[in-house]
Amino acid sequence: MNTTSSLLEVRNLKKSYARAAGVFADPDRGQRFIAVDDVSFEVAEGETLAIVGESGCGKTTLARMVMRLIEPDSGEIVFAGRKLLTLPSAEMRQQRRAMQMIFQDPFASLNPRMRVGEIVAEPLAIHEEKISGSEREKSVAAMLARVGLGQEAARRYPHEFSGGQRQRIGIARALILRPKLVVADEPVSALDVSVGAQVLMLLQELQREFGLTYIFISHSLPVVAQVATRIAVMRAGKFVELGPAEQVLHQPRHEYTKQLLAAVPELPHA
Amino acid sequence: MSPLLELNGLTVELPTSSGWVRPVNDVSLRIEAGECLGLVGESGSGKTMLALALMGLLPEGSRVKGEAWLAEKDELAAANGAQKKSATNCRNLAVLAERDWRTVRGREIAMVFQEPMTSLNPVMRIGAQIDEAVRAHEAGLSERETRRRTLEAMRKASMNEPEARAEQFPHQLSGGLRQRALIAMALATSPRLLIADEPTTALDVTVQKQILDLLDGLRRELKLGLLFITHDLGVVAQVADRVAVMYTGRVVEEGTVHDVLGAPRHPYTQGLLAASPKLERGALRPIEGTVPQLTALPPGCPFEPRCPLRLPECAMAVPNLRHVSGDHRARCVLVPETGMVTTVVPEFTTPKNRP
Repeated sequence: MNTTSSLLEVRNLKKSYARAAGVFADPDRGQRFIAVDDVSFEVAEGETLAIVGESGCGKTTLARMVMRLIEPDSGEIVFAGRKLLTLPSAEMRQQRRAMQMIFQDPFASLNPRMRVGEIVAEPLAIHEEKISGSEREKSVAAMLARVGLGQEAARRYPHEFSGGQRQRIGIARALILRPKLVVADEPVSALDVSVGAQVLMLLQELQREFGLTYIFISHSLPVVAQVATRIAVMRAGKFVELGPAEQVLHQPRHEYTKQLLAAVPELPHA
Repeated sequence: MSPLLELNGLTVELPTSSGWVRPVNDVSLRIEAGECLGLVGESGSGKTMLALALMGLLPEGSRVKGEAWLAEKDELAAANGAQKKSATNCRNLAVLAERDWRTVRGREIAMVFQEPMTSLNPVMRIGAQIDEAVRAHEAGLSERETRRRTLEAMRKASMNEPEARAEQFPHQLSGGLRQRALIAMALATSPRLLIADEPTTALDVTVQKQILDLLDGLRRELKLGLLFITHDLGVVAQVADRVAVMYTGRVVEEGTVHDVLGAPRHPYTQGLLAASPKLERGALRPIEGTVPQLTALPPGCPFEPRCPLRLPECAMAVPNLRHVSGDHRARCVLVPETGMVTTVVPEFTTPKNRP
């Protein structure tokens, strides 16, 4: 087994949804759609586990279950030694601050009526009511500076920023509580190539600096290749392959992984 | 042989609250029949606005300058073997009146968009939607003949069981099949130029490959000119013969895929390549900064503020497109000027008999 301790253990996680009934029912299919089908994995402290798959494979459902934004049908999630699914809500609240999420769409995930300073400070206001306003302002300014946004950013509104800058705001908000685990769901998919590369580099710097553990969800093998310690390839609710990044990318075992790799448009080496 | 489409200094101007901006600025390009030109750029580069200009779909109040010559059908016939060229064989799309656009838009030039679900009518069967395109092209066809052509277009787009698919609604199709339905709709009018604007961006990678293969086969088989717009250099490398890289409305580098992606000369193209994730780890180098707003362009080269190789002169004036070799041109002062090259390239054969 791993010599490093696992920060997160997921065991036999399942989630299914009822299919449409009545006139919209599809008689050829079963009554329930299985989004995540008995998935188990561990994430070691400080690593980046990438979960790769095509749309509908269940990767986002899985990520949201880990965050307890979706309740699983069955299974177990152990985070830092505590069973999350049976945790009383007060304690879950405490755990939440150690687990944060970065979303794909930096346009939809920021409240347009709040100033950036308030957006980034909000988790502090919720979880650390005791700290003073001026202290809060100070740590917000420091975090904004760390993600590459200027002092004046705090007073502005999300619409005044480009996509890449908004993703930086989302990262600042996710990191302000100094979480242990960050679940990033397609964090660069909506960004331009040059800006997406900046955000990937930033995520890697922050990981080293703050000792973060990442679950990195993406449809793109080339993106994942830049950040992953290990890669899980997901299809139809199951992991079809899970291994060290180098091995999955260069010596794939499963036929589906090979197909995915073969479909990546080749770029000439410059 | 004159090209199917030739742009000379095409410029689109849009009014904004802070004055006129040029999302397309002095663009000169050409596409031959059967050729695929990849148009690459990040958001705000003007690539979609260029496509809309070629479809006559620019926003109200915009102005078009320069020339966009579309060869007439006879011209194509001539190019395909006949010796004789007809008299008036080019039309300038830049000065086309709205009523004349109806004979071009969807007929001579068709377009496939990024998100197939928003381009299809959700409450209309697929077949009926393609029927509409067939009828728009040729009025007075019988219902039977219309459907026959619809099914033919669906077969061209490699839709299996076209009869059954024609009876389905868009939500019953997968993303890839919806994109095929849109391609069938575009082909139903037998266009000569197909503009594909990020047609695979919303699709899964395995489906993307199928659609790219389909478009590649179609343009070769049907002698379609294909203008393929994308932000993805890997996709361009796969489908295009030649590529033009746009930045803030201008073409900054142009040439064969082999030259531009294999030996890029503009620092922006080099930067894009270095910033594109590959299956090898560790090679990623982002481009600093962000694309400038069109309302606040720097005075000189628009890439100068982000350029790792900038020289003092770069902030003075926008460089012209300079000849690198063969068909390869780059808008950068680091490419030595040969003296004979201006923004219009010598190898452009000016179409004769312009009205």
